[in-house]
Amino acid sequence: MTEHDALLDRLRRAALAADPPPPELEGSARAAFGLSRLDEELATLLHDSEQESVAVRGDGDEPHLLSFGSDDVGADLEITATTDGHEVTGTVHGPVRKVTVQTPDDAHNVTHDQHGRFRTNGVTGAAVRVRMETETGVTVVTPWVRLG
Amino acid sequence: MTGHVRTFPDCGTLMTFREQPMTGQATMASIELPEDGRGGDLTVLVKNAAAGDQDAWDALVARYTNLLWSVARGYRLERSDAADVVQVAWLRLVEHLPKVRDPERVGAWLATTVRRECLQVIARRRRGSPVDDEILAGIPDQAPPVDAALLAHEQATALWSAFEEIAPRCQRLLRVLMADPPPSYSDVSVALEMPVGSIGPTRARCLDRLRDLLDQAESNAGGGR
Repeated sequence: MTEHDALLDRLRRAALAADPPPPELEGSARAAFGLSRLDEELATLLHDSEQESVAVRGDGDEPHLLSFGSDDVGADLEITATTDGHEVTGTVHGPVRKVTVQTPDDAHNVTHDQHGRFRTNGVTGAAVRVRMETETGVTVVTPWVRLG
Repeated sequence: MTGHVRTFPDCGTLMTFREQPMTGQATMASIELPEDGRGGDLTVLVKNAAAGDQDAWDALVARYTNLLWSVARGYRLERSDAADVVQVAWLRLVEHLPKVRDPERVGAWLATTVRRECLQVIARRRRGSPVDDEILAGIPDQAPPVDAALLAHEQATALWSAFEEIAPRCQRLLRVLMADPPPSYSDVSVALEMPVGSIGPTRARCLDRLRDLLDQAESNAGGGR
C-alpha cells in the first residue's frame, strides 16, 4: 500500500466514524423499491420551473411549478413550502377517477373538483408524486419531485 | 490505461458522457483503482431488481448508499438535505429500472442523479441562480461537515481538521474517493464530471497537500507552542 493509499484509508475510516450516512437511510432506500408497481405508467415531465433560466426565476421561496403528461391524463402541480411541510395544489386533466398525493412514507387521498383541482397540506418527506387512477383502470404516476 | 470510457446509452439526456482523451498527463504515475471487478454481479442484480427481486435491490442499496452519501456530502449539503437527495436518487432508480440498458453503469447513473439534485438544492438555497461546478469550487464551506467529537482519536481529529483546510475541489474528490466500498474511477469520473485521466493526478496532488498540512500541524504540536 502506498502512502497515498494509506492516507486515503485513514480518511475513509474517519469518514465512517464522523460522517456516516444516517442509519435510517438504507432502510428508506430499500423501501423505495416497494413504492413502484409494474402496472403503473410513468408520466412524462413536460415543464419544471426549477429548470428555467435565471431571467425568469424568482427567489427560493417561490412555488415549484411542474407539469406532467401521459397518453390519457396529465397533471399540473404547484408545491409551496409552508410552516408544516409543503402544500401541494394541482389540476388533473383527462378521465381521472382518483387522485393520491404520495410521499415515500405517506399517502394523501384527495378529492378533485369538476375542474380537476385539488389541494392538500402538511406534505412532508424527501419527495412527492401524484398517482392518478383513470376511469379505464389505468394507473399513472408522476416522477418523484424532491421537496425542499 | 486511464482513458477508458464507455458510452452510456441508457441515460439519454440525463447524462452527457463525452469521450475524454487522456489530457494533461502527469509526470507522476497516476494511481488507478481497478475497474469494478464485480460487473457481472451488477448486471444480474439490476436485471433481477427490474424483475421485482427485493434482495437484488437491497444488494444495490448496500453497495451504493455510502457512495451516494459521499457525493452529497462532498457537495457540502447538510446531512438532512444529503439524506433527501440520496433517497430521491433511489426513488428515481426504481422508476428508471425498466429502462436500464447498461447495468454496469448503474452506480454512475445514481451518482450523477445525486450530483444533479445537489446542484438544485444548492441553487435553491442560494436563492435562485443555477450553480455549476466552477462556481461551487470557489464557495466557502456552508455546512459543518462532521461531528468532530465522534472522532475517537486525536490523530483522526487532526486528520479531519487538515482535510477541511484543503481546497474545496480536493475535498469533494477525496470525500467521494473515501466512500465505502471504494468507488471505481469510472463512477467517480461520471459522478464529479471529471475526466477519468485527471482523477489519479488530482488525487495525488490533494493527498500531498493534506500530508503537508498534517506535517505542519504535527511539527507545531511537537514544538509545544
